[in-house]
Formats: sequence, C-alpha cells, structure tokens
Amino acid sequence: MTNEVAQAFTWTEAGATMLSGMAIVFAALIILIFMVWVMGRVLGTSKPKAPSAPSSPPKAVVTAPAVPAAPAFPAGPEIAVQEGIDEETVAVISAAVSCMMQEIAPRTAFAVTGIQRSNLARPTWRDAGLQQNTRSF
Amino acid sequence: MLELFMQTIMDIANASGLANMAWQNMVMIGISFVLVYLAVAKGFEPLLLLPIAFGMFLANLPMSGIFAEPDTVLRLLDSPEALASNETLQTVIENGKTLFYGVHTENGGLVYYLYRGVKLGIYPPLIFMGVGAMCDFGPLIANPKSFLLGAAAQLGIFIAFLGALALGFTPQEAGSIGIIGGADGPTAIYTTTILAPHLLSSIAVAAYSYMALVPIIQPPIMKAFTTDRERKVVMEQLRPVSKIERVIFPILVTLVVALMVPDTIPLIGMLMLGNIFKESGVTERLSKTAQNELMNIVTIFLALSVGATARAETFLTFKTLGIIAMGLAAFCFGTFGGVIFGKVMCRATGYKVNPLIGSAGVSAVPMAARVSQKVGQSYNPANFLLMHAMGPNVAGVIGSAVAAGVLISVLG
Repeated sequence: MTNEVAQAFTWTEAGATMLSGMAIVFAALIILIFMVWVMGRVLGTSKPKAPSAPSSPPKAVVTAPAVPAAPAFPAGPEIAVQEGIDEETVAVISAAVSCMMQEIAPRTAFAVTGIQRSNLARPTWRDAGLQQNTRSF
Repeated sequence: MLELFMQTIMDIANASGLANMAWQNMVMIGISFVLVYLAVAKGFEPLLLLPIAFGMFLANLPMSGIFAEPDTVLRLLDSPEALASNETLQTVIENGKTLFYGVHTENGGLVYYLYRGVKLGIYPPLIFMGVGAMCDFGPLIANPKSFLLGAAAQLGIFIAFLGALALGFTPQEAGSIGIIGGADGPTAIYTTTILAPHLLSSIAVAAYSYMALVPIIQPPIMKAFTTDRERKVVMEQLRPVSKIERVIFPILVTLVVALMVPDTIPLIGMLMLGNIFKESGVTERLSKTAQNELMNIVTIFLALSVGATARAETFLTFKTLGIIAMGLAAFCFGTFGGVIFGKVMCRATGYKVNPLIGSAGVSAVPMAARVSQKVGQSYNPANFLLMHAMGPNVAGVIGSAVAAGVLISVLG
C-alpha cells in the first residue's frame, strides 16, 4: 500500500466503509434470523419441554407433632395432594421422606400432610446438575 | 600449529550465533520468553500462544535460517561432464559462446514451507472447519434473535478500523487491526494475510493475547453499562432443536452469507462444513478428525509459522504499539456494542433478555459466553446464562467472518 493510495482514502470513505460494513453484517444476520425463524416454525418444536414433572417437582409438606408416634401406626391425616400428581409419585415421595426422617431424626414422629409442586424456576436436581457442570466456568 | 588451532577456534566463534546476536534478537527472544510464561504459568490461550512464542524464539535465534527462503545457486562448468549429481544443467549462449551452468537449489528453512499454509490462506479455514465441528449452534437456532447481538458486537472491528486510520495506518493495515475485534484468531490471520501480511505476527499475538484476557477486559464494561435489575434477568428456557434443523442450518448460513459476501466463502464454508460433519450424525469419523487430529496439527503449523514471522525488524516498531492499543479498543467497543444492543433487546422485550449475553457476541468461543455466565451468576446464583450466551457467541463467529469478508472486498 503506497502513501498515495493511503492518502486517497479519505475520512468520508472510511466512514462509509464502517457504515456499509455494519449494515452488511446486520443485513446478513437479519436475513438469517428470518430464515432460521421460518425453519423453526416449519421443522422445529415451538416450545421448550412441558414444565411438568421435571421443571416443578412435587414437594412434600411434612409436619412433625410434638409427641412421638404411636407404635401401632394408626391411620394418619389425609395427604393433601395437588392435582396432577399421581399416586406413585405420592408413594415415592412419602417413602423418601420416611427414609430421610429415620436418618436425621429416628425417634421423631412425622406425617406427610401434603404434596404440592414447588414454585422454583428450575428443579433442585437440575439446579445442582447445572451448578456442577458450570462450576469450572 | 598453535596459531592454526587458535585461528580455527576464532573462526568457529565468529560464525557462532552468539557472535552474531544483535540486541534486537535479544529483545525478541525476551518477548518470546514472556509469552511462554503467559501461556504456561498464566494459561493465556496456551494451545496457540505457546507455539507462537516458540516460533518467535526460533526465528530470532541468530543465523537460525528457519525462515530462510530457498536459494538457487549457479555454478559455471568447464564442460557438461563436470555437472554434480545434485545439479541440473543449464546452457546459456553468450556472445556466441556456449556456457554451461550447474543449477542447484538449496532448500529453505522448515518454517518457510510451513508458512505456505498461512500465506496461501489454507490453515485458517481448516481451523474454522474444526471450530465448526465443535460448535453447537442449537442455542442460536432456538433463539435466532441472538444473531443481532453477534452483529452488534462487531462494532469494535469498525471503531478500531477508524482508530487505526487516525493513528496513520494504511486502510489495509487498519482493516487487519480492526478485525482483532472479531476475537477470532483464524479470521484475524486470514484477513491480515490478505490485507497486510507484514503485520501478521503483531496482529496474531495481539488477537490471541486479548482473547485470553476476555475475562479481565469484559466484566467492567458489562457492569458499567447495565443496571442491577438487568443483570438479574432470568431468561426463559430454550426450546429443543430438532436434528433436521441442525442439519439444514449450516447449509442455510453458507447459502445466505456466501451469496451476500462471497469473500467469506473459505471461512464460512469450512466452518459450516465442520458443523454439518457433526450434526449429520453419519460422518462421525470426519467430525472427530476435524475437531481433534486435523485441528491440532494445523494449529501447530499455523501458530509456529505465525510466531516465526515476528522478527525484530517487523515487530519492534511503533506500529506494534498502535496495534496493541487498537486491538484493546476493538475488544472494548465490541463488548460495548453487544451489551448496549442487549440492553435495547432487554427493554424491548420487557426484561426477557439479559443484556449480559450481549458481550458474548464478540465471538471468542466459548470464553466470552463463560464470562456472561460468570458475571450473571455473581448477581443471581440461580441464573444460568451459559446456553443463552452461546447463541450470540457463535453468531459472533459468523458476524466476524462477514465483517472480514466486507473488509477484504472493500480494501483488498
């Protein structure tokens, strides 16, 4: 590049290069946005996975009475289960709570009084997985 | 006897590298040691900076000849029978008299041949193929609006272009310096090889050094131009992307970009070839080769030969300081452009876009996306911006390749 040619490149041309460059970059990418959007509408799934069980897992509401439970295991209070949670899930959660309670408070009586979905934006286990996978970042 | 011995020793000493060491060589070797230190001890893009630094070290050893061009030697022969086995005969008729020459070509240095791949524009597209085989364009397909952030972050390229012109660089040099803001090593090298090959070493070192410094350069700018509320925005989960979309995407991008800016075909074409290797699911071996063996081999050749171009006469100049200053400006303005456009999108969508992902639009895959994730999580530990930031991040790769194509077509 000689000095003469360099000098011939005026600030107007430099500004025009900048503006046209940005315009072409935006134009190319806007066209791509449109085409990818159309492709997504035709071929893709429009929504993320339904936020059913994994996105808001049922949460057990456990109450512990002040007195120890009777050894004969009388029928406890009815569990208030939120609509949409099936019996198997109730059984699994109740069993998990029972195991946990035996470990952390073996002589404490407790009763699962309700199971409802948490309002967390992301399930706890998925949260833990994400934390683990992105920790190095 | 003793005199002859001493003379021989003196001759050998005078012909040694030590006797021919100039201060410029020492400075360049010192710089190469600093780069080795940064790569090894500080982890600054070690896969690239280490071979670049070692190439610089080898090229600046006095009388190394590692970058020497092939030399043709002519030897006048008494008769054609005197031709040596490594010579070819050349006959010249001069003033009616026939002269016989033995022509012998001495091979060039190792890096001279390796550098052909840079000079002919072979290595950067091959590395782009590996990058494409490693890139997941899923977040970008799921949220194509991310393309806008990848475009906005190219602002740094053009601001640095103007800045370099103001510092007295020629338009070609300014274009090559500006492309540092693309935060994309192969693109920067490819563009510089075409526009200003004499600045290749300085631009490559600046580009890779700043890419390594992305976690230091970007956060202050991201924090300065966003509010606390904006930084805490939790973005919606991205939709799953079907396989057919992933396969069509590279073809679509190549078609659109190549038709608009044909100069980008080597870069975008190879990037998308690598990606379709990966996404098609039927060329697993090719995909693995592109992203592992081939990319590693080409990286060694590219980095070593680019490093070897850093010789005192081209590197130890005020231009290098200008390149370093403008390279930093390019990164800063690129980050600024992405974040500001992210703010615009944040407000326009009613706080559904976290503007911190805008900074990832500068490219520098995946470092810039990691920075978005880290800064976002420092304000909201339950916020995971990584996949959202990968959209603008890979869009930045496409955007910087388009910007490079524009600069090459205007200035080349």
